[in-house]
Amino acid sequence: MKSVMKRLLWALALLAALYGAAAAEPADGYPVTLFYPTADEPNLLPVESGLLIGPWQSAAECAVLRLIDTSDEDLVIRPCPVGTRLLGIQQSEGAVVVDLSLDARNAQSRNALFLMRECVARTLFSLPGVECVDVLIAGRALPLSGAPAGCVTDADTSGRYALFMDPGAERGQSTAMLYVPDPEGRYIMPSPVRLQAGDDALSALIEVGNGAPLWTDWEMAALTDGRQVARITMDPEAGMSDGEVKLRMAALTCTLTGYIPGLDGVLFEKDGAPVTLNGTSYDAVMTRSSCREYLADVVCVYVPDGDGALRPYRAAMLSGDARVPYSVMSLLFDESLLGAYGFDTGLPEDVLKDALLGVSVDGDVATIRLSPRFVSACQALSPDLERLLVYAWVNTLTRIPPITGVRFAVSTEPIEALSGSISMKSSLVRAPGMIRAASE
Amino acid sequence: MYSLEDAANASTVGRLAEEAASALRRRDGQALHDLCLSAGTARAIIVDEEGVALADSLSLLNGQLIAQPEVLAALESGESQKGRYIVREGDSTEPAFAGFVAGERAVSVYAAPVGEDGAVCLIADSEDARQAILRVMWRVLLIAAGAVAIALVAGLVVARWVTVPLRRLSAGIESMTRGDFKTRVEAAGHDEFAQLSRSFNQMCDRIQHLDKARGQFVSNASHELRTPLSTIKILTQTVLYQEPMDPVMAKEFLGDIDSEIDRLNSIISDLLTLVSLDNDAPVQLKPLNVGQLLDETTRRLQPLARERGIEMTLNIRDQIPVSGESGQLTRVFYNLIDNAIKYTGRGGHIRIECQRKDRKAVIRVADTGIGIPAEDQQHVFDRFYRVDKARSRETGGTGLGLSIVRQIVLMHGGTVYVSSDGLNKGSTFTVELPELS
Repeated sequence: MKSVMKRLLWALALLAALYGAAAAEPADGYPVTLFYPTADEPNLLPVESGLLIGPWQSAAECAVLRLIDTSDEDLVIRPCPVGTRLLGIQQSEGAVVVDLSLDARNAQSRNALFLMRECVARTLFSLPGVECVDVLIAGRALPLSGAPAGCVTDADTSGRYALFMDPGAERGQSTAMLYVPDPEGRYIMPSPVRLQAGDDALSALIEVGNGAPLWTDWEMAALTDGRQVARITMDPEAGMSDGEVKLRMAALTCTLTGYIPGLDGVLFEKDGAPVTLNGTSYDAVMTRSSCREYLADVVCVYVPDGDGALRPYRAAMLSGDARVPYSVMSLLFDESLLGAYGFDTGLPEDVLKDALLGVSVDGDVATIRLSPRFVSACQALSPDLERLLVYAWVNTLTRIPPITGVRFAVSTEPIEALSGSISMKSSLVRAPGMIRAASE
Repeated sequence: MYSLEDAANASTVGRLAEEAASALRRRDGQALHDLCLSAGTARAIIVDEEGVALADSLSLLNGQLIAQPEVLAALESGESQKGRYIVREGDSTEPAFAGFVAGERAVSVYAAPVGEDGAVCLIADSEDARQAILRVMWRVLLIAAGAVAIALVAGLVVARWVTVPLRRLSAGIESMTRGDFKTRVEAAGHDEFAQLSRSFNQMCDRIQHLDKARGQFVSNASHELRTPLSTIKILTQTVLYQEPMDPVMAKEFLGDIDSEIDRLNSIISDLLTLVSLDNDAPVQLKPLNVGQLLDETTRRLQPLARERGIEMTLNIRDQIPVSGESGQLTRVFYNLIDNAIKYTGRGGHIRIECQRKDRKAVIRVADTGIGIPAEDQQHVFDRFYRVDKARSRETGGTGLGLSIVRQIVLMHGGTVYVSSDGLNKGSTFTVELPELS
């Protein structure tokens, strides 16, 4: 009887919330659907809302913060335990890694933990482009023993829930967030991979990460202090630089700790001794937090090519920088990058280098401030070159929520044209038709 | 053809305008681009309120000011617009068409406003419709040309069919006008022209006959007039130059001269009568009683008949009213009866009858006289025609009496004919006059 009453109360609360959500005016801001747990597991309560994305913030970050900051006055069940903080969020194309503080472990039950992950994942799925979400607590996989490991992809909740409720069920494949070094060897980027579920996740992850020949041996081990670690033996003659090795170590650490539940860190050894790189001995257990300096978001910029199209170029960038439009745009003023795609502006290199003065965002409109020297030099651009250049900037910036339109200014004064074929009187919007896939 | 295409494209552009409203307000480039792509094979361009392209199916005009007249008109008027163009590849005057067409093609442009936020422009290839229209147009032209050609040929044939006989007829008339009465035209076939030609030929026959008769008449009249004049001349010269002249003989000669003068007078009088009749002098027709006229005429000539020992009877079976001129009809009956008396011998009979038949008054004057040979019967009504000239002179005839009879009867709408079984078997003259209705 008590449980029936309890269910009845929750049902009423649910109805009231639904009514409130339906009757509410559409929220201003970047549209998002927030998902909250309900008493009727595993159904979630979707709430349409709008995000106010501040400077140096991404839509994903704002969405997770909204979930975390849910108060009792919202008449919904909090998806995260009180005190939960967002330690970090990484975004790479369609993959998002959300790292919550240890307070998230204070979920009332295993089910609550599962639903917390579901709420975060499905909220992020409502944002454009997000396809895979990995939720970590303090840099480690959720302690959901028996539950499907790895990332959550945009598939039906009931399927995941069924597997969660039946630990003995056949798992099939799962998605692991693999961390890989960026082409420039400065950062590690998350990249989802499909993994055949099995008992030896460690081997599976190392193999899929193509760690050989660097990693020669590996095993799970328990330290004397009770921490569970992966002990990795390295090849002393792998032929890599210390910087490269360090990057690989960070990548493997984040990969393993993000996937294997209960894994506290990774211990690297070389010839039975701690690894020394650049004069530093790495005898401590590596965790995700020790790799933060390498964790990068992947940003996508559109580079004009020599065939009159825009090609996506993906670059790793520290999360802080990835959310700054100016940092992202700076990539497009790099002559070497443009040249790599066969695009020749015909402008002097020094003009291009100092062209970008800044990017400001007001609401959903970004304003690119260009140098007078650059604007003057652009008068000689052909209509096709102008179009490609301008829309490379526009398409790049409009990937960054909440930007939907782009204006232009010389120093601080608005301009209406560069060489004259593109009208800049009003903000320009995204032109997806000019984009060609990298492989085309 | 165009209207069907217009309806479909207008529907598409209307749909795009409706769906673009929200995306345009949000400045959602992806949504606008997707909408443009949903236009199918047509090119769609979505512009903002300034006419700047925000989305383009071909992604060639993004950011450019679209000066397409239909777009500008739609933005200004707030109403849908449409236009048609013939565009050639590489035509740089219409950037909206650049990259869209190959070769020379017909293009239709439709523009619809999207509230006050912008407009949608649809550029559709209507070359198929244009080619279909051109094909139809060429077919119509060919058919029309063919019809004109056929009509021309048919017209020429008909004209030839009409004008050739007319030309022949016209030539014939000209010949007749010049006096060539022998002219005849060809009258082959049974159509109206052949009938006309035959009628013309008949007319020519008649004119020729009349001309011949005229000539003959003049000749006869001259002869008839000269004859008594010659006699008068001879007698006068005899009286004047014969020495000595017996007074008795002179008196006899003068008496002959007097008779010839009377004869001459009669001929001239009859000629004048005929001329008058020929000139269609107005006749005052009045209702007359034929029987009464016959009766009066018969009474006048009865003494003459009695003197010659001829029995003359009158039988009026019906009193028949006719419309006619009393004097003239009396002359008809007088001439016929007088002739009968002249050419019937002593002891002969003259029977005069009048009866109604088929709404006509039929008057017969039958005698037992010298009769008329068959070959002469059709000529007795000709002027100056005498079966027996000598006998006619003796009786004082001018040869014009029956001509006068026929002319008067014809003027009254009647007919006159003669029948005779031959010489010395008498003659019957029949006059038919229409009864007065």
